[in-house]
This record gives sequence, structure tokens and C-alpha cells, in this order.
Amino acid sequence: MAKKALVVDDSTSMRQMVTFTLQAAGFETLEGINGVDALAKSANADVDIVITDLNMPEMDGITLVKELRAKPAFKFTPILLLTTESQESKKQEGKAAGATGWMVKPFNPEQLMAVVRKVVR
Amino acid sequence: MQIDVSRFRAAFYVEASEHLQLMEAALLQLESSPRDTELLNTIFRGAHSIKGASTTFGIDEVGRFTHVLENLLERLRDGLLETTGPLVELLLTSVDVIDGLIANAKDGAPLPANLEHVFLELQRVNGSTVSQANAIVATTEQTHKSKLAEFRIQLKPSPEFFRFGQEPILLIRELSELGSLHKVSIDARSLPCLSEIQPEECYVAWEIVIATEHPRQAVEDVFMFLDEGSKYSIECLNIVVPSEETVASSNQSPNNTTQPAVVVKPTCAPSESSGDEDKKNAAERVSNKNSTAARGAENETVRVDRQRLDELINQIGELVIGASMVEQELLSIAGGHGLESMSALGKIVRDLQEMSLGLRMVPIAATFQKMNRVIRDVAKKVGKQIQFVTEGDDTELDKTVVDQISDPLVHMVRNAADHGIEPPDTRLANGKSAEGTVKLRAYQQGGNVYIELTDDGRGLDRKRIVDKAIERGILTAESNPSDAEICNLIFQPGFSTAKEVTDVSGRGVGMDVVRRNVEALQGSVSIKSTEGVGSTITVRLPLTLAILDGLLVRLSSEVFVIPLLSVIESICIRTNEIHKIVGVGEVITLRGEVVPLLRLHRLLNIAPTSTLDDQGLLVLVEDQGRRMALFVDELLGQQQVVIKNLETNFRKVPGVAGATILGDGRVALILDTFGVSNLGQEEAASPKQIAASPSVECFATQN
Repeated sequence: MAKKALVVDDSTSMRQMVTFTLQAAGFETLEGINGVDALAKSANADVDIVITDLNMPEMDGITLVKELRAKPAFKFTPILLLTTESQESKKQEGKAAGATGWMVKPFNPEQLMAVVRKVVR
Repeated sequence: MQIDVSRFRAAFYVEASEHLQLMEAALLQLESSPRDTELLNTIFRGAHSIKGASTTFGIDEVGRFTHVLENLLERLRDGLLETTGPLVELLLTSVDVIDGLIANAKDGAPLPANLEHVFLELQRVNGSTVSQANAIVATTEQTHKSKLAEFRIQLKPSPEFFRFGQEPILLIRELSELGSLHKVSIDARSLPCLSEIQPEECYVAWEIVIATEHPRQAVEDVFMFLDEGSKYSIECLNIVVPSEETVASSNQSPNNTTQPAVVVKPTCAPSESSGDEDKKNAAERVSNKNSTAARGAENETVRVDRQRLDELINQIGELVIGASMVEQELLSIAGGHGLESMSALGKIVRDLQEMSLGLRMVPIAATFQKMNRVIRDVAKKVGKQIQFVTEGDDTELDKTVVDQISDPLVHMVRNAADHGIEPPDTRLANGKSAEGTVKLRAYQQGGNVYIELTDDGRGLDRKRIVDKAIERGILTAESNPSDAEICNLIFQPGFSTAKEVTDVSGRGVGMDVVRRNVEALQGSVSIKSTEGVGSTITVRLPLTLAILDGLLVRLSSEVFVIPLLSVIESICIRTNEIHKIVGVGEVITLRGEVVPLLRLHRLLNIAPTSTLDDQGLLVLVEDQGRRMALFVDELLGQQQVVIKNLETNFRKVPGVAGATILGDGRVALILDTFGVSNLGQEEAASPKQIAASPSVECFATQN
């Protein structure tokens, strides 16, 4: 069965690129435009990996990680953060919130899949 | 897997312009509330998002610029910088520069002229100059390259390690990409006896020694994927002088350097390779339908290419015509049979058309917001205090109309701020508040949207306009123009009463351009003004450019459509009610008002089948304050018609706004009432030269 990924980013272009890459690799994808939206979309879904941006309106990535980790269904789900190099301190914050890892922007589809494959097999 | 990221650029351009708009709006608000963190966050988020996406999609110029901007914004957000007027100015200019850079990337527009200047200015405010920045890069690169360090890593995974999707071999491989692994040993002392082993739990620990030229942080990063329960420690053993050999070995492929880890390998190698194979196949399958996947990427809103939407709306227009053709044929053939089902179908078709037109409707808010910046810039430049108010921002209009009204609105708003609103001291002297108000209001009424621009400034200077008009030979010294005529004068080409030409406005390329653009949208513009109190300019725009409510009239054997919105009434008159006035031509007197009479047959070069003597049927129309009576042969009825552009199919014809296809398949021309009145004036001015419009026959053969 295809693995399911939840992609959360307020940027349409970034979200398109990530979902497109994942779909090309055989994933099914769900999309959220911010933390609140992602929580709603994933409520009844069996998600294998979450990839989320940090800086989003309504609910940011760190809060989303905390909210997801509080749910039993997401206790072990890999969560990757999309960051930029200027957010070094945010990595630690994300880690403390329960994120599994991160991708530093800019990245290309190959790099994204290399990281995704580290946590989803 | 080869994916070309440039395919996502189109989406990036759209969202970048949305971000830029939000940033601009927030910056303008920031001037009045400099400490508003929500505004600062919005601005920062915009820059941050644009940077992230632009670098990902390889638009490096945008990435480089927004990087510096983001740094500055971060310091502003963190309270390390004060929000000052000049800083906001710089940030607004930066927004413009990014806009220009994106235009450059998108359409190959020239790079913004002030790019380097603004870039350096941002860096200056950031406190670092280019050479300093370069120096920092150089030194970090040097530390990266020159020092080869040896680290000992102790890794003790939690029992839940595997359940988190973790895999020790992958960690070790990643480490091996950083340098050469001198030692990888496994500590299996806590491994229970076979009967007690839980296959999902992790019982072992590792010790790894790596020599790498990467900094310690890079080694730490490998372990950021660990779950909370897993522990690791990194210890720096020594720093070795680089030698050719070790540097070379660090470049070798992971498979060659992870030899010590080979013990673990067999357990995961088969599953991994088969999984890869599956994924590869899946990737191939999916990549065949790449385009559909990309299109389906949006859930909430679907962005559709404008051209495809236009084509859809066009086709539905054709459907409407097709349906009414069928209806007419049914009427003639079946004599009424099947008409019931036909009228049901007709209703569906009309609903469908209405819905399709709704697809292209967008709120005018974004256009109004742009004006905020215009007002601010003008006010700054000429030293005025202006409050900008908008009303009815969510009024919806056809996207085509919204796009094309933006430039005329900028002209109008600029004029109002520059010429309309007085300087603060003048206002105070006249008993007004120092701060002037410019208000934009939009509302819908019938099939039209009205945009009203009101200012409480000085109003039109009647005397100066008359003087100017006399000077330009538009009026004679004896004439006593009405207020409406005065207002009309400012729409004359090259008519500016500005005492001095500022670089903001006053070159006389304003209101005539405004009127031309609005007319091109089948709208009209009018102005009301009271000297010393202010002016109101009203722009009337059709909701859509795709359909039109028309009055069908017959001229000889041809059918013409008069836009219903300009029709006031139709009347019958007797010949003795027609008079002739020199310079105006034929007129009729209607309830005490003198109205020019235009014989459409003559203007459009068609032989009349009736004369005014036997049945004088006139349609009274009004366009931009001008009333006229059009003489026609017959009124055929009222109908909604689908507008077809005449220029793209034939050429521009004076007095004709477009064409449409009637239910019986005939082409009917849609009259442009204002153009017709111009034709009438030309004819009155030189009665010998009958306006040389092409005959309808000519059009028909050409098509």
C-alpha cells in the first residue's frame, strides 16, 4: 500500500514541489496550508510521514509538531521540518517539540527523497 | 528521479506577488503603528517565504536580495532596530525591487535600476558591508577545509528506536559521507537471550570513530533524527593536519568506507533494494502522469490558467447562442412542439452562463490596496497629510475589468492627492482640518459596478479651466459653459491646469487617458466638483465584458444592438417637431430639452426603408452626459447578447463596439453610443462629408 504523507506549507509552490516529488516516488499526499488546516486534514487519516514548514500563519510548524505528538496516532510518525539556514535555533526548538528531522531550504527533489527515505521505509 | 523544479515557478510567481502585496500593506500600516508585532511578523513571513521558495526554484537574484532583507527584518522584529520613516521607505523600495526581480525572472523584464543601490543600503543598515560579508564566508570556508578532526561517537538507541522508523545503518552511512570511519563497533552486551528478544526493540549500542574536515555541528546534525529516548555523545579526540590520503578517502563512496558495518548490512539490504525497485517503478508510473499530479496539488482553491477559463466562458457563450438557434428552429419547424423541454434547457444554459461568468469575478480589494501606496508616496513627496479610506472592497468585478481599471485608478488617485488635496497650511487657513481625505468606494447597481473617488480638496477651479479652454481654442471668450461642460473639459487630451508640472502629475496625460481606458471597458466616467469643497469622480463599469443586455433594432434589413444601459426611452415624433440648428444639425425638442437627432441610416451608410415622415421611431440614448435620439426602422426586442470582439476578427469601426451572433445565426453589430454621437458631431461639423463608415455588407464579406 502506498505510504501517505502530510505536507504542510503556506507556500503553494513549495507545497506543490514537495507533494509532486513524493507522488513521483509513489506516496499518497495530503496537504495543509497551515498548522490548523493540517490538524483538521490529518484527524482521520493514517499518515506515515509529516513534512511541515516552520513559519506559517494561524499555527506555525513548531506548535503543529507539539499538537501532533500529543496524539497517540502520531507518537511515532516521522515529522520533518522545512527550515532555512538562518533558523538554526529553531532546529533545537523543533527537536524539543518532537520533530524527527529537518530539511534546509533550498533543497532539490533528490535531497528531499534522500531525507524522507531515512525515516520512511 | 529527475524532476525539473522550474515547473513550480508559475505558482511561485503568483504567491510571491501575493506576499509582496501583503508586505506592502503591512508596511504602510507599520508607519502609524511601528511596534505592531503582528505586522512585523507578516512582513517577515513574506520575505522568508519568498526567499525559501526562490532559492529552491533556482531564482537566485531574488534569493540573494531577500536574504539580506530577511536579516534586516529579523533584527527589526527582534527589536534590535527601530521602525523609522526612512527604514519603512527603504523596505517599501525593497518590496518594489523584489517585484522587479520577479518580473525579470518571469518575463525577462530589465533588472530594477536601483537594485544594487537598495541592496547595499540594506546591507549598510544591517551593519555589514559586502567586503565584511565576503570575509566571513572566506574564514568559515577556511575552517571547513583546513582542519581534519577525529570524533568518537557513542550511540545508545532507545528500545523504541526502530518504531520511530530509525535505522542505524543509515546513520552510519551518513556519517561516512562526512569523512572516513576509523572504527565502528557494536556493543551487544545488553542483548537478551533469543527467547526474550522483542523483534521491534533495539538492544545494542555503537561506538564510532570518524575523521572529518566538517565541523562538529555537521556530525551533530546526523543525530538530529534521533528520538528523545536515544542518547548519543560526541567527543573530539584530536585535530589532525590534513594529508592527501585522508582527504582522498573521505571522498570515496560510502560503500567502500563502511566496511566495519557490514555485519548489520545483510539484515536490511534485501528489503531495502526491493523497496527501491518498487519505488522506482512507482516513480515511473507516476511520472507518466506528472502533469495531472501537479494540477491536482491544490485542494482548497484551484488555480486555473486564465486562457483556459476564457475559452470555457467563450464556449458557454457559444452554447447560449446555439440553444437560442435551436429554439428558433423548433418554433418554425415543430410549431411549438418540444418548446417546453427547450425552455427548460434554455434555463439550464442561462444558469450555466451566469455561473461561468462568476468564475472570473474577483473582489476589487487588491486594486484598492494598491492605491494606498500611491496616496502615501504622493503625500510624502509633496508634503501633504492625506487619510485614505476605502469602502466596498469586496465588490466583485470581472478579472479582465479589474486588471484594466488599475492604471486609470492610479491616475485618478494621484491627481486627487496631488491637485485635489491642498497643503496643510492652506487647508487650515480655509477652515478645514490639516489632514485631507481621499475616499474610494465601490458598489454594484444593476449590471454595473461604480467606483467613486471622493476628495475633500479644493475642487475644480472653474475660472482656470475656462481660461485654459479659451487659450486652447476649445471655448470662445463669450461662451458660458455649464458645470457639466466644465467637468467634461478636463477629459480633453492634454488638458492640465496644474500651475507647475510636478513629477507626480500635471503633464496633462491624465484624465483623457482615464476616460479612454474606461470607455475601452464599455464604462463611463463623470466628475462632480464644488470649488473649495472637493470633487467626486464616478467610474461606471460593466460587471463583465462577456455579455450585454441589448435593445435589438432594425435598420433596413440589418439588425443592430444598442446597449440597454444607455437607452432611456423610445418615442414617436412628428416631422414638424424636428428643427435644424447650425453647427449641431437636426434636433428635436423633448419636454423642453433640445436633443440632437441622429439618422443612423446615414451615419452607417444604409438605405432607409422608412422615413421620419411616416413612422418616426426614435430611441433616446445617453452616454457620458450626452443625450441623443437615434432614428431606427423598427424595435425588435430586448435580448442578452454575447459580445464578440470586432477588432480581433475585423478591425476597429467607429461607432461600433463589437458584434454578436443572433439566435438565427446572423451577425449583428453592437453600437457604441458614444462613438455614434461623435460620428453625428463630425457629420454636423462637415455635412458634405458623410462619415465614411464601412457598410455592413463589407463587413459580412470580410468575415
